[in-house]
Amino acid sequence: MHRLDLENSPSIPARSVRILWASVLPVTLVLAYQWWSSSNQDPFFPTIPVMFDEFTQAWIGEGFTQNVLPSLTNLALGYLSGLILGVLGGIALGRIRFLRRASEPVVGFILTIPAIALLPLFLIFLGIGQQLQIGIIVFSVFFIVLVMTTYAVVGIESVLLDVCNIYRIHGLTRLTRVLFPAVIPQVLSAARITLSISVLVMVVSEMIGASNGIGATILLAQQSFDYGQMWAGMLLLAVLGISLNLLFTIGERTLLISTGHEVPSRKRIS
Amino acid sequence: MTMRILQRFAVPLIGIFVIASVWEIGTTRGWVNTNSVPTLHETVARTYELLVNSEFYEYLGGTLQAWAVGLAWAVVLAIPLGIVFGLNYWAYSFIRLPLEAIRPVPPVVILPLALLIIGGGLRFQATLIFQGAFWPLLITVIYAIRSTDAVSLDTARSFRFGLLRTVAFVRLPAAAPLIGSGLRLAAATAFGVTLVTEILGGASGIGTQLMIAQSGGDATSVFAVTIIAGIVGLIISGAFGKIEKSFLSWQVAS
Repeated sequence: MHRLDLENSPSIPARSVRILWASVLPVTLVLAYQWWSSSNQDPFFPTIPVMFDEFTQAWIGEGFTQNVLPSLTNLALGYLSGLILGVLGGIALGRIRFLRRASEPVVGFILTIPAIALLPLFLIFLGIGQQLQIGIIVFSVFFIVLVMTTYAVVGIESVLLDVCNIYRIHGLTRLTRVLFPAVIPQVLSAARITLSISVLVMVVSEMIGASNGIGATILLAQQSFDYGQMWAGMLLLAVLGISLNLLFTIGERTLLISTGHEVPSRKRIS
Repeated sequence: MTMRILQRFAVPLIGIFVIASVWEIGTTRGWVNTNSVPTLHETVARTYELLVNSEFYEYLGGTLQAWAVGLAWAVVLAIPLGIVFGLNYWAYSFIRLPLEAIRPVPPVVILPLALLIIGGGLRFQATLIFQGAFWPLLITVIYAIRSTDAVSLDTARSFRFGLLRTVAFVRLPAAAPLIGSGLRLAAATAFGVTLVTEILGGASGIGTQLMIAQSGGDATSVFAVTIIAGIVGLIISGAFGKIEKSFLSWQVAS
């Protein structure tokens, strides 16, 4: 790993000073936007209280059960099954060299197709409905996780496998006690990448082929010039992205610690 | 020796062959509906037809133009800004919170607003592609510049290198590999966002061709254009992979 350069901060300032400094820009941005939008009265840019009003109206209560919940259910189902299938497939490909080589060109090609480009194809194949949303999320998560898990399994140190052989650890025990824990860091980074991809795919697929859900609501609001609701949707997507990422970080930490891996330092920002 | 070569090339071919025959047999025998999955030979023929058709290159050109414009803006702005913010602790911590907040937000968030304000067209596409590629690239560059090895920096200082020389001869070469992989990712993201702008925003390009074929129920064309999108993706990732490799060679063995 890189040693972090602290040259530019010869004496690290007090925590309170740092927090104050870091919050200058966000606070300024919010205040400036509020001032600008309330003095401009531009229908494209509602003021922040209006935005929050619209947000509660659109997404809390009935809006939640009708539009947010189905989206989140599809997201969870698609993401988790893609993840599980990808890890299992990746372990199979990583262990069986013939399969790995045979699937390499096809998998490599599918991987370069942007997930969004597959939407029309899935629309024709699955039609409009919940199966479309789930199907395309599973597909786009599966291949990325598959490839990264395969690399991780191939990269497992041979000593580890030798020890398994010596202690006659085979089959299910080897899978659950040795292989899974060994590939967890790479699987987690694949899971992080695919989480943001699946949110994107979910929204776009709902914008094209769904009658309810977050994406459909946002597009409908935009097409009917309901700027308030459109902003509520944009706000929801931002909140969703940030909170899923936060949840993921917490889960990642717990899993890494419980399997005895090093936790990436907090300074890591990419 | 021959065994090696056989394994290296024959086995991938077996894989392709198996998939191709399952596809062809499955569709011609009618195991799946050819309205949703066309036969392999029709798909290949349609792909070829498109590739020799000059009209198709206009659409492809439209896609690539939007991609290139958006990505170029992102690269031109993200790299210098990333260097500046990576060099200075105070500058970095000033923008850190908003940056961390923007990172996990999907790039389609501003699509409805941009569509209303800018309308369709190249400017709309370039704006969306730019903001899809810019933020991840900026974060990567900042991180790459910040994570320069402390010993090299101390060495540069004991040679009395100024700021400019330190950046040019120590920080940038050390950051190059990470920036290279950031560029590759940004190019791929930009291509994905380009297709989103075409599919949802209706800007002319291969994404629109996909949607037109889909709404006409023309499964063969949908498959053919999807395959071409994959080939374009392959070329982009290949080209940027080359760039990334050439950046790697700047790295002095450490």
